[in-house]
Amino acid sequence: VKAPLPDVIRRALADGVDLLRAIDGDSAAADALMAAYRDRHPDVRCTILEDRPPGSTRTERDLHLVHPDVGGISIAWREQDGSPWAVTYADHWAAHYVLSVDARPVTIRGALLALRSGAGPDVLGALVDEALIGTAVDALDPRLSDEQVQDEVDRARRALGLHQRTRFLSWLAEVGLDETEFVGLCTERVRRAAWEDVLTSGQIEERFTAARSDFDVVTVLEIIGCASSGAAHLRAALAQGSPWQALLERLPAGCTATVRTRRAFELGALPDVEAGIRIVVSRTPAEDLDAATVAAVRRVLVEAWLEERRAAARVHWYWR
Amino acid sequence: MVSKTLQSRRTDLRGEPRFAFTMAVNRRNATNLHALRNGPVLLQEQVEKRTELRITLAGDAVFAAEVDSQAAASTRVDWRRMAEPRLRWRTARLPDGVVESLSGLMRRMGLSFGAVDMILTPDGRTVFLEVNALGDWLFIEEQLDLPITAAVADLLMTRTVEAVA
Repeated sequence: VKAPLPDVIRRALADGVDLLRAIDGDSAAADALMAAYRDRHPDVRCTILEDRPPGSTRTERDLHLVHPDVGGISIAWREQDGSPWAVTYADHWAAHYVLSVDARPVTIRGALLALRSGAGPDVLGALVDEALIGTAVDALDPRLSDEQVQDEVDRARRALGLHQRTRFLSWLAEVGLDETEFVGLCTERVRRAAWEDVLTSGQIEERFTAARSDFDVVTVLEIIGCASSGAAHLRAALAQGSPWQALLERLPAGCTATVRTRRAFELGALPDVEAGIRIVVSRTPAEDLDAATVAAVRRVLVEAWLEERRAAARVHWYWR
Repeated sequence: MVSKTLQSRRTDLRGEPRFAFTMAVNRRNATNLHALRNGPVLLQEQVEKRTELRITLAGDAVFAAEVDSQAAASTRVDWRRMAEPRLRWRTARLPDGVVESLSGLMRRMGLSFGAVDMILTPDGRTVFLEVNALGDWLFIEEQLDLPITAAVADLLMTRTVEAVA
């Protein structure tokens, strides 16, 4: 026969029900009520467990009491607010979505796939861009041949170094895709390329000629993360004619040096402009519209299109 | 235990649409059982699943499809809870006697069309869940290229002729 509950626990339980009923959504008030409750029951260790189900505006609280002679007891109190079970536990329509852009939803899985395929430092911006482009591609609905898709599947497999089928299948298992989905992703890539063809048609040469130097291939040495005094020291050394290679040998503490090769328009701003230094190591003028330069011009044209669309887009984030 | 709504329908809460899927009732949800006073739901034993079957019967035609609903966490309790068309259906070969049992059920219920949901359990049992007299079939027809619509059309034409005759 189990011993009856000690009076300290009985009192804490009865008082705990009142506590749970008194606590509302205001967390500051809840903290004060909880502190007073602890003062009234110094022999019982008590914790409030909070849960806010996804999509719900209500915070559910349970009270967990622990007494060395008894063990642990939890009390839950749920207000009878008239809501039917089926409504209380219904999924919010956006439960699987991260955001929507102009009413086009981006699922959690779609966002993870986009991130996996290299979203860059601006993750949120990349998700919005993907949705804008996805809408445009769907509106165009380019017709593809089986050969186009197969070529892309083969190219993607080669690019990933998946030359053997067994290795390909184990890679799919690692990333949580099946073959059909992999082909689907490749199909999307071909559709997007077809959309880019239409978007940039007749503009490549014009854009290239208008600002040819934007497409120069530039190699830069970037030194960031320096304290102001360190950056000033590096600038002074450069002004005195020190070669950039010499700077690498005596970098001030905390500085990080990176050599990057990009098209000129892709360099952007340094992450830490004030204390960072960028030195142009070499610059090769873009003279011809070779394949790599055409690809760069297409990126510029797509970026210009995106800039316009971003400004007008209605973006709604479901998770913050 | 799982809870299931009596009707598959969207509800609006504070102006935002929601949909109640079949859900596993855990101990925490059980503290809210009093909410059943405000609207009934079905509470059933939770049956462990290996895969799920959707069997569409239209007259004498039987189309069986199977889905691996256990592959993703979101679809384990209710395969309709899919965020995107990721679930892959495949045609299924039904265990012996299932077609005969379902046909008998349809006759006794006076149904000429029905979409039946069943579970294949890890130990090889086939568990009947329900027959949807107005069940959707297009999502299976499109994925598996099954002539369900044609079978329904044939059924309607046959019934019309019978009724006229």
